[in-house]
Amino acid sequence: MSMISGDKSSTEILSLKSSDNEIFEVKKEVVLESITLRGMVEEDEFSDTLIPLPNVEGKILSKIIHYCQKHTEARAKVNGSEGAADSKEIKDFDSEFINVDDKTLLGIILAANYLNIKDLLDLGCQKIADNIKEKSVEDVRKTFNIKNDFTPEEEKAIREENLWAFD
Amino acid sequence: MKLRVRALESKETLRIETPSPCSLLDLKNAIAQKISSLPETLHLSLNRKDEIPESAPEESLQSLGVTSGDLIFYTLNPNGFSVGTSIVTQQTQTGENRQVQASNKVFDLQSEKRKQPDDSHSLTMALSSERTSSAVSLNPPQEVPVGISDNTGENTNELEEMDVDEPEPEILRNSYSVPCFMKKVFKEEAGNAGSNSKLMMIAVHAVLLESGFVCFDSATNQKIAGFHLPQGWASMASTVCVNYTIPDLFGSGSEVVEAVVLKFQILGKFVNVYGSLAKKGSDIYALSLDESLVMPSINFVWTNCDSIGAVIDKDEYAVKSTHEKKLFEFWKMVKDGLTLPLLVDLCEKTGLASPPCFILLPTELKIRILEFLPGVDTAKTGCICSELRYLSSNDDLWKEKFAKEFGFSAAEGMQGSWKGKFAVLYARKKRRSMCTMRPRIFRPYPIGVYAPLRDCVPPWGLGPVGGRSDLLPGGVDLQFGLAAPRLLGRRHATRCNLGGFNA
Repeated sequence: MSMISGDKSSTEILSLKSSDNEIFEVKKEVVLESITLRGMVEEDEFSDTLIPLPNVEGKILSKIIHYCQKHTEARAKVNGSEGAADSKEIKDFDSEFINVDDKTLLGIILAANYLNIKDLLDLGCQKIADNIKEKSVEDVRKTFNIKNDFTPEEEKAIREENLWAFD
Repeated sequence: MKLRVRALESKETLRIETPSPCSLLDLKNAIAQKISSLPETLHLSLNRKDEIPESAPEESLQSLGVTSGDLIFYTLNPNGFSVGTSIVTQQTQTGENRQVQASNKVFDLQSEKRKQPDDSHSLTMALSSERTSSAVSLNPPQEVPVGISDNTGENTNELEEMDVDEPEPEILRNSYSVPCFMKKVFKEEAGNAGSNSKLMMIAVHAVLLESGFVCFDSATNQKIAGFHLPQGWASMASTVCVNYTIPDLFGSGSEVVEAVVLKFQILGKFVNVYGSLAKKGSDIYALSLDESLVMPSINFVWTNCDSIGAVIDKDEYAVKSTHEKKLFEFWKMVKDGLTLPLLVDLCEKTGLASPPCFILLPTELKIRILEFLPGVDTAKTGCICSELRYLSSNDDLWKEKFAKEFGFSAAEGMQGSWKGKFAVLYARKKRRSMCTMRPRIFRPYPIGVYAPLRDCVPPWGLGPVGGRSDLLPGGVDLQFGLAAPRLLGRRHATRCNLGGFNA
């Protein structure tokens, strides 16, 4: 963790500590992708210490850092314009990135929510929505391990209520 | 039968008790008495658009589709009920085993083509006098299944061009979106609560039960049946302790392996709830609930959730919406702040599998995900579990979906919840697309008439044995002429695969 003189913001390195005590050294500009962390950093509290993230485990945090790095680089390439997220390269990266198992996906969403990384949160939620789309009710229950807590009468009534939505 | 009658102009509502069975005339007499008017001058309507006609004054209200709790509009103005462009849908009671009744509603598909609003009074007056005399305004009550009521596709013999003027599918219009558990718990316990604070406790109790907790008596370690709270809870002073656990943690020897304790503390208008594991040393989750903010909404929704709403106007709808939102906030606060963390702690402590990840997501994220789903899939998620049913019935969510799919202008003249409006337009859209996929002209051949093709052999074999005077040389039928060969070539014309029967 060294402070290099000159262009501080682009080369300053910060340390993030996951819930399972893994430490990640990350460039400040990448860290700033997270609004939550931006708030902490800009208040200068953690400028030369570890930032603990007790809600995020190492495996998930490393993925998130990877995402933020990629997006920061893409933005730098187009000089910070808004169009960065729309480039084909980034879109391909995103769909590859989010193609993970459900448990990891939910972990990413929870972490993105906590760290307040809007694009990643949208990406994750859209992916879950895509996983739900096209699935039957029973399949969604199985995939997400959700218990059916309706009585048979309730279930019948609800089906009738929503009959218009079923083919 | 208890009915509510409302003056069309002043919106003043009266409660009327009528004998059962009751006829239209009896009702008018009852109203006339209350407002000191003459029954002959009264005009009644269920939807403010179509008047219940005079033609059947002796007919019972039940046969007109009126049931207890309904709202009926009345006016002394003979043309008070304008012809509108609204799509009127049925009244239904969710969650109960009630037969769906198609009462005297008119599904006026043609009216939607009228761009003119109802403001042109002279036009509507002229039309309304036409309407009230037509028999179209009243359908005899029938049971119509909710959803698409036509038999398209299944009936391959009737491949006429679809009649777009068929009545629209009956679709839920009113959605009092109350967590269903809350209703059940309130039914059982609300009688015991003497005060608002106690009602709040019941509401918190309901959220816990919904998440899978069971209540038990700490003295006897016995599970408490149904939705009740421990005996004598209501008479306790300012602090009430209630124990909960999950079904898996009831040990074999009637001891409870691990439990969660909720301490309710009543301080003036605040109810503070502290939740933690029973054994010391664990995290405490605290909530402070302000009665004055929450109780009005709980009371409103609770007293109205069982009533079958007739047409509700914009103001009523706005009030209902506000209360529902407040109730939702309350539910979300208890769920995310108390129930889920306690559930997670309990499972961690006892080594049980943690609840499914999806359920553990904060409510906001679940809603976020629902935002990304198309309307159809959102409706389907409502069938998964009671929590998702509650979340997916959020009307603001449906408002967004409606706007995205149809645009706000399409809602003009429609009433009811946004989900209901969405369902109506979606069903209509689906039927139209089914309509355009059908073969344009197909008439089943009358028996005995056929026209053998020149080039291919009809499935039933070659031409007629013996002569037929109505056939031209070559076997082309006089009646059908050139259309016939074309049709015969399409052997599978009747099998219009709409791709939608694999649900």
